[in-house]
Amino acid sequence: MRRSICPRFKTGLVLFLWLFSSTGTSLAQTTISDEPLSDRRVSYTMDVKLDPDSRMVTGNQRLTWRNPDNVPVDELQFHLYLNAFRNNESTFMRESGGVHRGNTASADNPWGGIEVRSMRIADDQGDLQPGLPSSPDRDLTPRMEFIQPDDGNPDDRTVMRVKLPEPVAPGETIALDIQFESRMPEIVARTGWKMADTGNPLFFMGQWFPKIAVYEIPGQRYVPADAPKGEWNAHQFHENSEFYADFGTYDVTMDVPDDYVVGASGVLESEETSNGRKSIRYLADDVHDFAWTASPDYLVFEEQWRHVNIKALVRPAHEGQAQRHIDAAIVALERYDAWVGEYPYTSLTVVDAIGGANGMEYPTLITAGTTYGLPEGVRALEIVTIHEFGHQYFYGLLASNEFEESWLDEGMNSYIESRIVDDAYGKGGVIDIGPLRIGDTDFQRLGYVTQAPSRGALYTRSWEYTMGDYGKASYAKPATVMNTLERYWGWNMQQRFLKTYYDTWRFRHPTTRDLQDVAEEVSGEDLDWFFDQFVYGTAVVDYELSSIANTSLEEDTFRSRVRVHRKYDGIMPVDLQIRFANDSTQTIPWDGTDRWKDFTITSDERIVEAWLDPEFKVLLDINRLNNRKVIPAWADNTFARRAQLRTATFFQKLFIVIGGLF
Amino acid sequence: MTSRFLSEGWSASLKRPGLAGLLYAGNLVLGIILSIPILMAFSQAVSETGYSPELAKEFDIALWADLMQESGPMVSTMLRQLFWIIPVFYLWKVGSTIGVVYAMRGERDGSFWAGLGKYGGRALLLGLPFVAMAVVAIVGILLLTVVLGFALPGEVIQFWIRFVGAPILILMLLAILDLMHDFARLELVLRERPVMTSWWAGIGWFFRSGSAQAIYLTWLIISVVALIVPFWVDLAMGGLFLAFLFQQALLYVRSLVTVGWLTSEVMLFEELTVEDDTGEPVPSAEFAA
Repeated sequence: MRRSICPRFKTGLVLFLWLFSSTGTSLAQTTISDEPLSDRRVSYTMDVKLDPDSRMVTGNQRLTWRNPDNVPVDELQFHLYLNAFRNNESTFMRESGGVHRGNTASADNPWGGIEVRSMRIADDQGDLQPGLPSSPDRDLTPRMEFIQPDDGNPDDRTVMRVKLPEPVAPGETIALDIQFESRMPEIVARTGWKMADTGNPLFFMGQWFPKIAVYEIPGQRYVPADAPKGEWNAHQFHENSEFYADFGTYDVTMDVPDDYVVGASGVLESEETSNGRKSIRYLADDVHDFAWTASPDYLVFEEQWRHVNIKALVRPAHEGQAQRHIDAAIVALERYDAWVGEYPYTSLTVVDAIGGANGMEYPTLITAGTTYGLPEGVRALEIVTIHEFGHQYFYGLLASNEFEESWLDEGMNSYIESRIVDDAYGKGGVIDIGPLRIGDTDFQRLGYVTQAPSRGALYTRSWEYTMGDYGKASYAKPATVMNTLERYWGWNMQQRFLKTYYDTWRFRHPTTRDLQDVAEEVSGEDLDWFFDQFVYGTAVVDYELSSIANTSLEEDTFRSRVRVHRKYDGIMPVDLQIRFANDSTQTIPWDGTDRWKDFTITSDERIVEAWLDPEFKVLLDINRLNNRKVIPAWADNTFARRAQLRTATFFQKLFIVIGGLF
Repeated sequence: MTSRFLSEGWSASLKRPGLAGLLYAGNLVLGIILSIPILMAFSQAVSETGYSPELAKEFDIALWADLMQESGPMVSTMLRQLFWIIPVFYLWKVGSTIGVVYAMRGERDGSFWAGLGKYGGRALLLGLPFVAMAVVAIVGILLLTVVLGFALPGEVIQFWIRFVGAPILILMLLAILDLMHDFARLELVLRERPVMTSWWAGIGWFFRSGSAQAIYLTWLIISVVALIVPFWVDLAMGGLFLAFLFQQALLYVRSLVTVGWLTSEVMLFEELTVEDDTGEPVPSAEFAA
């Protein structure tokens, strides 16, 4: 006998479920907190559909934005970054020439772009839009206007401005209903589609929806505290930078073919399948972006680490490396948790995407990428995973303005990446093949010292770097600067600095100035001397041990002179270690300021060796080889002789091999 | 039969240690000439820094980077030397091989230098078509790899094609060409045939003689092992002088292998060819069959 449900009860149940699901609160636990972690100035509710054949994502968006200022705001600005791939005339294409980190498009029609079909002030007066302007003119579509705040390129459509019919009052929220169509480009720089070698498409949706820019209020970042009003901070999409947005909540429902596997920012809330399609709803809170990926190819691997569900979406060819993705993520989670602060989200998805989509960060969703047959001693996969995870802190939680101060994200992240890699994998953190062992800290330093170290200050707007300095100045150099700072004041102080920086500024878009303030606060030291040289400036450090001279004064007494030379403008305090003939040593601290400095020592032993910075604390020193000197009698040719013998035998063997050709 | 040629070839090689010594010494001299800039540059850059013991002990990328910055011209000097050393090596390789073949023919008591003088010029000419064939083979395989890249897309299959299949194919083809070249030299020296006739006959040996293939393959395996061991010693012991001496001993053994290898091929050639009434060597009935 079947039981029937009372119609009234049934209606009530449906109403209850509807109310429960439409309150805007997350059903799934997206963070470790029941309370909002950020000030949530924005919220996005999106319902989108992917058509793989046309490579289009069409959808509706309900966007709310709260005016954080003390004065009314009469315009809104939006990122439409997918238009960077609209044609050859966008600022991104002009800057990159269509080549992004070696990736180029190959399809007949690789172009993409985003069209806002309509934008209206939401009609309903629900909780989403208290204080809505009462003007009858709700249609904002005719008011949309592209602007080019960075370079004036009239063909760039990556930033849009909308003048409001009535301003949004202070503290009040405006709700917009937006219809948009995103044509995904062929993946060159992070976003779009690509046919995998399986014959199936892979979609990676980043920068794919209209996103409101950041309105900075007086006192926020570099807006003067006494400014009469705040200002929009919206930059065009550039070759080297793409992130700056406000925190909020995302509720996104994606409609895809039912054989597609989807990964997305946040937490899976529900999944329904019907008529060959699949509807997947994801929730993400206290984040400032939302990305997703879809492909029939993905294989899913999961592992739980404390409160974090780690998911790896791996392409079939790389199935054997799935665990390497997860293990690397755990290596990063553990150390960030100990050294910086707790990861507040409950999910992390590591995606093994394709080509230009790899090596990228989005909230709780990162792309790593690997190649079939990658040896375990080559840790490219691990390093990229650790690096992209680190962005969850610097790009994600702290959310600096990556356009204006990319080093705060990429550089700080590269620093901790190098620390994690060397801590987890030892001296051969990057490459560990036979006798060839290269650590990440050394690797980062090389990226700085070997590439025109006198060019490219860290504090530079990303699109203003020239001659390829962006990579060095945003990654390798800041990593080396921070590694040097760590060695200057010790790991304990550095850890306090990192933790305080994170605790103080997470969800608040810190600046370089804020970071320096924290450093000075925890150390109690004015650090202008350090930041002016190595963050705001381009000082180059190179100390040279110039000469050693011993003069015999009388029997068993020597006057010795050690001459040191500061070859460039960079100044760091260093130790001078002196070794006497009886093998005893003496360490003399030096502030490192003089161009030339003589140290005179009278002793009953002559000096046989002098060594500046023997513990190699100043990684910024571009030439370590000239830091040390021995007297001629102590010169040692062992290394040169061995190198010659090895080279000679190498060529002997090589000749035998190539002799087979003749 | 093959094992007999192998063992007798090796025995004959041991009886003429000077021949192996010549081959070994030639390579050693070229290797030392090439490495002199390293000694000079590293000695100047490192010996008075105090870093020499550390650098000799283990690889330090930071110091090596600084060293290479400082000694950059050394690398280019060394590479520039290759422009003249590789042609010299080519001449030496061709000449020394023909010298060994001549010395190990008949009673195995011939003069290396006489063979070099008598056949060196023609041996040089004979080598050119084989070099050309090697270039064509390598380019052909690389082109095939590109074509297969389009025909068989897929990361896994491409990995096996590019990093396993193509290198193995290239090595196999080079080995086959080397075998042909060896027997073409024998045609040149032992049967006094013209260069192009020797070239064509040398090609035929690969297709007609299983014994030639077996002897070549066996010596190839032995020689690869004999070459891998010094590489292993280098990795295991680094740049110690003892390691250098040990490797030199092994490389001398490798030269003995080369002489034994060529001698085995000479013996096989002599057994499979007989002289006709006019004194001209012709293929034996067994070989012709």
